[in-house]
Amino acid sequence: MINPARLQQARELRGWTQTALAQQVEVHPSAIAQLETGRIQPSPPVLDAISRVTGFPPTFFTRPSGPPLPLGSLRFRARAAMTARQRRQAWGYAQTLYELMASMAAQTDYPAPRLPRLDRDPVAAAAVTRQALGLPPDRPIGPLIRTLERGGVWVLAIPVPLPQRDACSVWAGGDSATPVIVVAAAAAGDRRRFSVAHELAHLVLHHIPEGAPHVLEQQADAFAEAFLLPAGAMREALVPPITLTTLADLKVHWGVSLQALIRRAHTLDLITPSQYRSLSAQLGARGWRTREPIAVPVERPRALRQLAELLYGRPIETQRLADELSLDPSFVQELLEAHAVGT
Amino acid sequence: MPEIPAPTHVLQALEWATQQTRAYFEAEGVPIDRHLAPSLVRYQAKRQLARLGHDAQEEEGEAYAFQTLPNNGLSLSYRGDHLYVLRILKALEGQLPAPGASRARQAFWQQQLLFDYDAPSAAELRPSLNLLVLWEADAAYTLRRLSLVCPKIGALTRESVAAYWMIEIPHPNVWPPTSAAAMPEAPVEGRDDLEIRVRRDVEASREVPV
Repeated sequence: MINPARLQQARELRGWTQTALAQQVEVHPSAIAQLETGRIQPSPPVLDAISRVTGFPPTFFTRPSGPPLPLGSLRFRARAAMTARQRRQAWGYAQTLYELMASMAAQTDYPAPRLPRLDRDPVAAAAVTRQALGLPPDRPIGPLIRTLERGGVWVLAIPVPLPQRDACSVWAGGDSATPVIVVAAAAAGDRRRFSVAHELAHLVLHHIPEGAPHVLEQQADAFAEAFLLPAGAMREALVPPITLTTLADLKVHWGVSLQALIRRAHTLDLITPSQYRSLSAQLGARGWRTREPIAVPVERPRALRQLAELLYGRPIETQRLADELSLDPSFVQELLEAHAVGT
Repeated sequence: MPEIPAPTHVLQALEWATQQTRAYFEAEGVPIDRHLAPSLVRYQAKRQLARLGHDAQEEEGEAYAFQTLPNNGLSLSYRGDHLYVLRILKALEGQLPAPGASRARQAFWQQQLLFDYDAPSAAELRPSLNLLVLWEADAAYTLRRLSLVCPKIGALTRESVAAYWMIEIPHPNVWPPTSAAAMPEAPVEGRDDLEIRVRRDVEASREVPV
């Protein structure tokens, strides 16, 4: 007996519609729909064909479903930003990674999360979160993802894009006790850092999301700004003349975009509204809104790969890992490569 | 091509000055005055350059008389292997403006370079090199571009103007250029790894009995 959910998972991971899969397997599209609802079971030749075209071993389709990963903050994202198929593919990767991580973490003494769940204004929450993660109140945060992983957050990197922010988050697992952040295929380092801080805000502030999505997003942005760029330190650093040239040094030091620094200066009233417009216009005039100069190194999550090294050796025995999860080794390799290799 | 330091401070001063100029007109609630605005830029840039430790001077004798003209400039000198004199002025539709009727300005524009400018033997023959830093801003006084120009000649009209060369000064934020594809990756140190151990019961179940 196949598990219909596994068939749907495999199809969505490939980014295919039911019709597209049906064409490749050479069955009627309604057959795929019926297989995915469990109304019928595939014949051995059809299962072989499905396995061949999707690249998942036949045993994958008979495995019980993995632990569920709720949609979390992906629900807040504008639907127009990506198609339903892209969304499902991205979430398919996230679910697979989550299952992989859960399976490996359960075999270890993986650290419990020490992330607060707060119900207060975003700026105050950012300060409390810094403290909870053992960060000084007014210094730049070095490796942000590493800091969160040490704080028990599961950071999973998917090899496909996500809408708008390059990341999403959710409290998952039993009692919704595991904070998970999913980061999409590498954006610029500064952009990834801000996206991760934004998702951290959703975890800390919106464990029970209440309010309009745009309000939740504004709160998350305010948290991210305060978390990455604490007010006290910014008042000392952002002194006149504030120009694109002087902001460049701050970008390197704090690991955030020029745009984030300009916004922060505006939020803290360190520049006038006119200066804010002028600096924003200068960014636009140079084409730096979409692609900023001064690269901030891209940080990849590490914990998933570290677990794999711990349990499956170094170099990782991909075949053994793949066999245990009924996955194709090349697919497992693709998942691992989005995560950092230790030195 | 002369070897002078990239005029980063000039760019920084002009970024600040155009920002302040725009702020002035917004605060007054009036449209940007195309005659006054360059003078305000010059004033603010001069202040900023002074803060940065540069000797910026208004062009004596012309500042007052040409106050309403957009091409009043600032001058800076740099003494490296030779004396370089840089005047900073607003570009005219992206091009080098004419010096006008001022003889001093015409003299600045008009210079003859030796054929082999960089040859050591030529060094003693060159008292100074005149250069112009042109700045361009859009209608909202957003600084768009800076260019370095080596003028050759110029008189009253635009047609009379010629330059040996004109190059865009790259913004320091994009210089030196990096490959668009090169996205640096943050290194992960082994010591940064989490302290995780395999659970004892899992370890025991993995041991193969001999």
